[in-house]
This record gives sequence, C-alpha cells and structure tokens, in this order.
Amino acid sequence: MELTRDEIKEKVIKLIHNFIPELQDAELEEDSIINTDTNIDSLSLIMLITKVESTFNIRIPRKEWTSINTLGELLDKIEELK
Amino acid sequence: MYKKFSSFEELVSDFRTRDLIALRYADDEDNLHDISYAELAEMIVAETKRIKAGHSDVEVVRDEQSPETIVSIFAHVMAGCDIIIADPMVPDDAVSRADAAATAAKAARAEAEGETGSHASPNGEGELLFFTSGTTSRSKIVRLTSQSFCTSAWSGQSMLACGEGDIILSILPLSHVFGFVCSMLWGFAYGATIALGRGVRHIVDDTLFFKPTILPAVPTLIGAMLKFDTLNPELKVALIGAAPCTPEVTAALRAKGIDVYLGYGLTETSSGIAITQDLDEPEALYPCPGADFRIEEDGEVTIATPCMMQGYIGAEPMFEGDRFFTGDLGWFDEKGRLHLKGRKKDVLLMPDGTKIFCPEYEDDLMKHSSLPDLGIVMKDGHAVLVAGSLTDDPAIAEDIRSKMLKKVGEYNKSLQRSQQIYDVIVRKEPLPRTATGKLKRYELQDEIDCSC
Repeated sequence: MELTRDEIKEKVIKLIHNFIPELQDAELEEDSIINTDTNIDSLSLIMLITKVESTFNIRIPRKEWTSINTLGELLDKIEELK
Repeated sequence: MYKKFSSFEELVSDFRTRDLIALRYADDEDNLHDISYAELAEMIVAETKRIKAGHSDVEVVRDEQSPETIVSIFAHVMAGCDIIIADPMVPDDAVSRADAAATAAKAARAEAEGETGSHASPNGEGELLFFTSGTTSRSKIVRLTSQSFCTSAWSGQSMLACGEGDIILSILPLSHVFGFVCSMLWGFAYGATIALGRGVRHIVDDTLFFKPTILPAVPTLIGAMLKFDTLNPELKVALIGAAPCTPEVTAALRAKGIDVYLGYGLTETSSGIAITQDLDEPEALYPCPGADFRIEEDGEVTIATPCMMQGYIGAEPMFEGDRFFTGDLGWFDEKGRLHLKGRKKDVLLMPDGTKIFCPEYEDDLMKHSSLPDLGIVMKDGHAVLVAGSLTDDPAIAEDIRSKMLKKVGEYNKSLQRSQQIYDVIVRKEPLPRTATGKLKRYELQDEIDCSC
C-alpha cells in the first residue's frame, strides 16, 4: 500500500530522532532546514540518507544530496523515487 | 630495517614473492572478495602492457575506490604515463583543464630536456599529479613521483609499522595524498591487507563490516564514528591526518584502547613528514626520516625532504634552495619536537581535510557587498566571516550582520558543506592590515581565538 506524505513524514522524523542525537527532541516541520551544520553535520546527513534509503527502498543519487535542504525537500525526493 | 622501494615496478615485483591478501572488497550484495598480492601483481603487469601498446602522455584516473582504480594507477605510472587522480566529484571541466595543462607542461619539459620519449621522471615511471585541494578554483596541481611516494611509505613505516595480519581500511579518497599513502601504498609496501570501503554511504560504518586493525582517517570522520559508535573492537591504531584533531577526540579513542597517531604532511611532500609518538604529549610531532624542519624568523615552518614534489604545473613553488615554505607556523620544544600553531598563508584547513582559499571567498563576497573590509578566519572548526564596520552603534552592527548573513547564505549554496561560512562577526575596528592593505590573517585569527 502506498504511503501518504504524512506517513512518510512521520517515519522520516522518527529516523531523525533516533539517529541524530542532537535532534532527538527537535520539533521538525516541512520547512525545517536539515542540511546545514547548525542542525546536522555532513556525516550525520550521510547516515540519515542511508537510513532513509533502506527504510523506503530507494536510492538518492549522490549528486542530489546537496540540493536537499529542508525536511519537505527530502519528503519530495522520497515521493519522487518511490 | 624496512625495505625502501624506489619505483612502483620494484614494489609490484615484490608483490609476486608474497603469499598474502593484498585487497579485500565487497560486491553490490556485500559479499567479500580477496585479491592476493601475486594476483594483484599479475593484474597490474597485464594492464601496464595494454597501456604501453596504446601509450598516452597524461591520463585522468577517477578515484572510484575499486580494485580497477588501483590497478589503473599502478599500471599507468609503470607504463610511463603521467596520471591525474581526481575525485569523482571534481567537475569534468576542471579535470579537462588540468589534463590539458599537464600535457602541455610535460611536452615543454621533454623539449627542454631534449627528450623525445615521455619517461622524464628519475626512475623512468610516469608522474602522479594531485590537486592541492579538490574543490577550489585556485587549487594547484602538484607533480609527484612513484619514488617520492615509495620513500614516503618507507618513512611512515619507520615511525609506525604495519605488516602481515593488519587490515587497513581505505575509506579516504585516493585523490588526496594522505589517503593515497596511508590508506593504500603504505599497507601494500609492507604486506598489510587493504580493505576497500564500500563508498560514501558506508563511510561511517565500514569499520564494523571490514573489522580493520588500522584506520587512517580525518578528524571529522573519526568524530562521527565515535558519535555513532561504529569503531570495531579489533581496531588497534587510528592514524589521523589532513587536519588538526581535537584533544577530546584523541582522548575518546584512547579510552577505547586505540593507539592514536597524528600525522603532519602536505600534498607537496607526498603525504606525512612528521608524526606524534608520545601518549603524554599528543601534539608533539617527530620528524620522519630525512625530513629536515626549520623554523624561519617569522615562525614559518620550512621543510627539506626526499619526498618533495617535482614542482607545480602552471605555478611557481615557494622554495628557497631545497627548502619549501609550508605556510604553517610552528615551534620546536626542548626535545626538538615540532609543534604547530596555525596557518600563516591564506588557506584554512578544515576538520575534514578540505581547504578554503580565503581571498577567493573575500573577493567574491566583497563584489556583492558594500563592505570592503572582510576577512575569513576559523572559529570552532568552521569558516567565519569577519567584517570591519567602523560603527559603535550596536543596532547598526546587528543590521550589517543580518544583511551579511543573507548574502553568505546565498553564497554558501555554491559550496560544499565543510567549506561553507558558518557565521558573520561584525567588529567596530577595521581589520588588521599591512601597509599595503594585505590582511594580517594570523593577527585576526589570534583575536578571534582569544575571544572564544
């Protein structure tokens, strides 16, 4: 069954809370910027993307990683590739 | 005493005598495969013959962290072909420009030397051309030789030995001399097994997959492995280089029973030229064999070493006699050990090993700003922009900062994350400059360091 955007969002936020210690209590909305050193350092972003890829069984091309800045853009990418 | 190889051909001949695993790698389904030293030697020799048949002067090898990349590097050099080892993320046009410049420079050298062939390096093998930085437009191309790299591997072995039974995890780019020597050549030269990482997606957790005994890494990577608890129990040695490492990271590794060695080196010196040894003095560097350090009157570290580059392509190196000016400031303690205290030159070294050429940023930002007095320095491991505002009014200063942050935000979009500007600091005094208007970056850096 196809996941709705809200269901995808819920899963992604759970991943962020579980795998990014500094964001485990953060309230995240679609416009929350995730791809910046103030929130997630570059290697944590790699960890997050690999978790997202395995959770949703997708492959986000490496060259597109830097164009994902907000949680909403990550959700867009997941929806596009699913 | 360890054997010092003088060429890749001599090294590869030695591979044939070993009954050991040279390479370990995983396929797309994460199945492990091994290549013995003898098999690797056969692959390299066969590829060398193929390249000689269709000889070209300069070849670009994209660093794909695969057995094929490694075979290609050795084979091209042994065939007398110069190679540019480029990170896959370096744009094609930058690599093409470097290729054209290297080809022209090689032709000019051959003409000057009255040679008709292309074997101009001392041992007849091709040169290895490295970018001083993978990303900035002002990156230089450094000419290194298989002989200087083999000497570098030997001098590293003299300070920190690896050998049969060791597994060295290779997750650093081979397009960077630290990765090339410490996560590949050093292990190959002295009989360790090189485990090739599975790519950037597994850069933090390949330790748990390959179970290395030795891990060459940059500080950022080691920090992430500590954070995500992915350091394997078999790990004995962490060799950290390419950027300064915090005492907290060093202490956390030692608490796990891992011996920590911090290396110091430059692209121009074919990787490491000094390394730490003492547990009680974690930052005191001991020169590698043959590395002759001197501190100049202004505090700059200069070096003469048998691992020195042949020169740059298209730029003049900072030499005085055989001494290279490193751009680093340092001092010797009473035991003759070297301590570093920052950069004199306009280059910032980031914790992930990448570099920022500050004048490039400053010129770009000045073009898009009404503020002529800008400087880039380091704060807490990030690049920050400092602006001289000449105002005592805090409200005006805050307004300037806010506007500059917006411009910086736009500018950052064109930069990779570790090279982005993290913050803007506005000060009421002008930035410290020389009589000719050149920014005294080390003075500004001292001020920022003291204010932290």
